[in-house]
Amino acid sequence: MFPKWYADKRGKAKELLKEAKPAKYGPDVDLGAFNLQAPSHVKINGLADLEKDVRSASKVVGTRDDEQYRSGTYFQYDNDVVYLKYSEQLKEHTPKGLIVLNTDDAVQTYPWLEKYWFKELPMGLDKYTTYVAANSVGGAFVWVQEDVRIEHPIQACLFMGTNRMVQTPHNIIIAEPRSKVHLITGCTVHPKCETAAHVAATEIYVKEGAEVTWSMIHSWGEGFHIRPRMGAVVEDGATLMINYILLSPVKSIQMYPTVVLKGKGARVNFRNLIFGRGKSNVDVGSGVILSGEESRGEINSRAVIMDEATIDMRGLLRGNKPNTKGHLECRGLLLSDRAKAKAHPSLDARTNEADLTHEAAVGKIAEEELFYLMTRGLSKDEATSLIARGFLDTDIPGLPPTLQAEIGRIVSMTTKEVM
Amino acid sequence: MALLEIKDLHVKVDGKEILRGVNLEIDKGEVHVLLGPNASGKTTLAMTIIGMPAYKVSEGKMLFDGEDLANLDPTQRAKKGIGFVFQFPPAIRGVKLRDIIRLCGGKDAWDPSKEPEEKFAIEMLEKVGLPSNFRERDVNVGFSGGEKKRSELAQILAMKPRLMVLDEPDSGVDIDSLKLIGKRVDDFVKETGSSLLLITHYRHILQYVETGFAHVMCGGKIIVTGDPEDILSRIEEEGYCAYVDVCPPEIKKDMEKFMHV
Repeated sequence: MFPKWYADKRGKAKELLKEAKPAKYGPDVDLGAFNLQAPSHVKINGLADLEKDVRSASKVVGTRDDEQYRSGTYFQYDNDVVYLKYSEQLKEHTPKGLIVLNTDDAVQTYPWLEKYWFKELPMGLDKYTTYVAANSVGGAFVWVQEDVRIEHPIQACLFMGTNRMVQTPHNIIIAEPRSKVHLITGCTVHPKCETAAHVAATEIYVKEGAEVTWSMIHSWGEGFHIRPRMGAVVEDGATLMINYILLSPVKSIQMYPTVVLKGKGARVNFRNLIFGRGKSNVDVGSGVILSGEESRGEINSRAVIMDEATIDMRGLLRGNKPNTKGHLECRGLLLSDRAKAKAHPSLDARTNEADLTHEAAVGKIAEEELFYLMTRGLSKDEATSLIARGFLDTDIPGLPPTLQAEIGRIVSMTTKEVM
Repeated sequence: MALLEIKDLHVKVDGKEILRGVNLEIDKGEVHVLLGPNASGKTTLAMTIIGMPAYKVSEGKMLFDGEDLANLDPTQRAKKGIGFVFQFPPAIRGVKLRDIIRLCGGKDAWDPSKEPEEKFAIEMLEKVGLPSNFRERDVNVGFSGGEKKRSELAQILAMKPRLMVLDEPDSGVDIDSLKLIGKRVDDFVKETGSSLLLITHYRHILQYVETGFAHVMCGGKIIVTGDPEDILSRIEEEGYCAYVDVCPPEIKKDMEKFMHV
């Protein structure tokens, strides 16, 4: 049974949707052209039961079918959660420390979710957020208890296999004080699914002294419109790390996840690694609101842009309180004459004791570097590929070594594929 | 037939003629040292030998093992066996020294799933006296002068070249680095029979590298060739002014300008 507030809030969102305006950035997508419904998919007993194409696609976005080095697995196929399981080890060591549920089930089990529901991500933010608030289906709910520290990441795969559908998951991560958790969401599609939309809402609550890492790995297709929305709040002494990796061409993707550092000494670290391929229209920003004293924010975006892709890299640091510090770095490497890149760094200090800095650079590979590697016997293409791979630095601090190696491999494979 | 034959080589950079008729032959296993005042064209010669595109050959030719280098890009020249140590190598962010050394040695970049413990690059780093943690460093990023030269040498040794061209491997390095670089180069030449063209300003490195010939370059031409010991002694006593008299008239004026004669 869904609680009454849930129905009320969806009703309110449906009302808002009637007057919703296009988002500030990115081409406007007519969501009416997509279906919320999709055929249902049967539950499976393990990822090995997935159809071969589904399994290999999900592997590309970091979903391990052997479930090694993972604390749990959530697999959503279109609108159905076909698999949800914790590792045996986790069941043994922290039996009640971690809850992972389909968000639709979580709302019914924990009606107190009302106080988190579209709180950090206001449902009226833009039409896509409102759309998810009115129509959400599934999404991963991750709740980790006080002082519980989960060693291995939880993997959540959001898989799409139906043409012209729109997937609308609502993810919620709640990390209670001094807890630690890492969620990897891998989003990808069936090779036969050519055009669809993915509009997601994610809310992250990082309480006092907690540590949350969220790694998103996206691999879509040329006919996909992607509009993820995210809001997060980080409290006293807590840390949030957000890693975003885009591997494939898309029709359009626009996102601007924003984190409020509310607590004293709160920290956030954004890392974006983007392949701009084909005719992709990519508009990716990261925002940090430094509202807690001594809070620290860092944004590091790297994009390799090729073919006829265009990319806008945005970043915002807003310093509201004294002794805050933020650094923003946007770098774009253009590998084709027809590719386009723009960087839009924005620093907004509202007190003279906020220390905000940025570096932005877009351009092609320095000839000097290219010829240096050629004198080492590398062909021009090999040298370009090596420089591009190095440019997309995957030494991400704070990641478990196995995941670090997995992400390194994923990025290397894509680099090889595109060069 | 010499390994490298350079005949009446004229080279322009940005439309300006820098080399004005260089002739040089280096046989297999020979060690040649190239001396000369600043801006005399030594680095230009080296950059032209490895095929840097900004260095345009306007006249003359270069043959390597009988093959005209004009038709080969830097990659092909490296594959034929020309190894070059840059005076000022660029720093490349994100590209690991380990992987460059491996690629120089004809191997793939390191893949921990195939080779849990990297061996090849570490062995090369040991040879040039760099700590093994340098394998994880981005090439030349934050390297000191001496570290850059050692890293360059590690790469070139991995390539096993037939001709090494070293552009001032002794500039900006401390005495220990100098000694080590000199000895490694000398060992390599003696072990493999590789040829060497060594550009330097100083006698010091020649204590460690056994040299057969010395050339003095001035105003874009080689003006003297002879015994290294004799030439170096004369330069040390009298400076490059010692050779003003042997300069062709068209170069003499330039040379005097450089030397404030």
